[in-house]
Amino acid sequence: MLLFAGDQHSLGYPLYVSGEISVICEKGISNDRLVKKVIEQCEEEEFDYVVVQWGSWGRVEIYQDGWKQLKPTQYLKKQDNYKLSKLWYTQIDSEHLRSSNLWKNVYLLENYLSGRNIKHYFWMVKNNYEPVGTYIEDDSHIKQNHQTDTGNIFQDLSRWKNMETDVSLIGKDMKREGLTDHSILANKIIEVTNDFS
Amino acid sequence: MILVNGDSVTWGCELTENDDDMEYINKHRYSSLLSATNISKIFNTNERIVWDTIEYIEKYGKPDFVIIQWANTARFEWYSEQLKQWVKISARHVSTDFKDCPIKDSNMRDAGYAWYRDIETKQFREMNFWRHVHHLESYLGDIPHYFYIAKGNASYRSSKLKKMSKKCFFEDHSKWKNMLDYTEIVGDKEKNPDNYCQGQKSWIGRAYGQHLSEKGHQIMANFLNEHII
Repeated sequence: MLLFAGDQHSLGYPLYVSGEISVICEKGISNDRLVKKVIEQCEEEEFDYVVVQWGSWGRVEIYQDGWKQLKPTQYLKKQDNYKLSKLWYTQIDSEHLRSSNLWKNVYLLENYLSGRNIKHYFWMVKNNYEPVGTYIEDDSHIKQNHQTDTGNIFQDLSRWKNMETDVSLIGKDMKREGLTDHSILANKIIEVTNDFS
Repeated sequence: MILVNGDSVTWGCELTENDDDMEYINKHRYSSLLSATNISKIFNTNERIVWDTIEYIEKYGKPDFVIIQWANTARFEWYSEQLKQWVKISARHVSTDFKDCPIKDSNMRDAGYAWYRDIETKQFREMNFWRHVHHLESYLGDIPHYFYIAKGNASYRSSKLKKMSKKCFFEDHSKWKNMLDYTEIVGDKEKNPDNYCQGQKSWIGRAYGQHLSEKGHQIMANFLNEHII
């Protein structure tokens, strides 16, 4: 049994993998929630291999009458959780916090899976970022629209510190160009995981 | 070598007035009674405890044993773009309007207010805390270690409240989910006042009288020596 996890970029390619698969991919999922969902799934079922595509680093999950996911676009487009999102992305957020949170999640899940002897492969979509919040002054003015990996100690410790991306794996920028033929990505994932062995 | 990390409790605060007699503090804090290396910091955050412990071990190699005293779970680390560094923020900073905060960053005040007034909840705080525990527990792996927590309130009620709280996601996955509070090791302050400092003037308004006395440090050292290490 194989488990595939990720955001909207992972909705297509697992369908081109043969055998018994389970998919927990959600559009806009935060990495905080992704880790929890993968662990929950692994507690319920036995998996031979887990493939995780890490999502946009700026998304977070916080608790306010239930777990809520925040992302910069909620604030910019006045969507759900607008007030909380505005507070987070104007007062708390930074590139350093995003990098720190990403690598905390990677290290945590890596250790969980290794501890349970579950083989796994981690990758990410290279340009899957959203505007860096502390630079947002108002709804229309964004000073910075790129993201730097500032790293942290958990990146240094992780065996996935040099994680492959869509660009390095298949030479496609999935965020900017999209991907029409998901079998290309599926075949590459099969290749780099040695057919999930 | 035994490595010890924690906050002001492990640092030995209130053992002397103004926390300035390092020779005296060094002699009486529990880490010294165990001949351990103490890398604790006053007002430490749990995030910083994890970072510093890992960095120390990566730099100096594996110790024989690690003792971690987790700190008040409400403190958090925030990255200051102005200062280009991580800074510690506590609820007390907000309640005192950052008046005695040594760090000068105009955005830090806004971050603190947003965090404690609108963002932080008990569930979110617990989740963050148990992620820290999970990280260090995973990192230490086969290095023998002992975790306990000092929530910063030595009263009987505080230690009981901890046990009533519902376990969070990562707590369930930790072997330290039932870690003791320091009051469960040295006794609570109401019944064992001699085990705590009577309160030094410099700590009024902060964790006044919540730190271990010489006797309290001795009891902690004895406990760790006899039951844990």
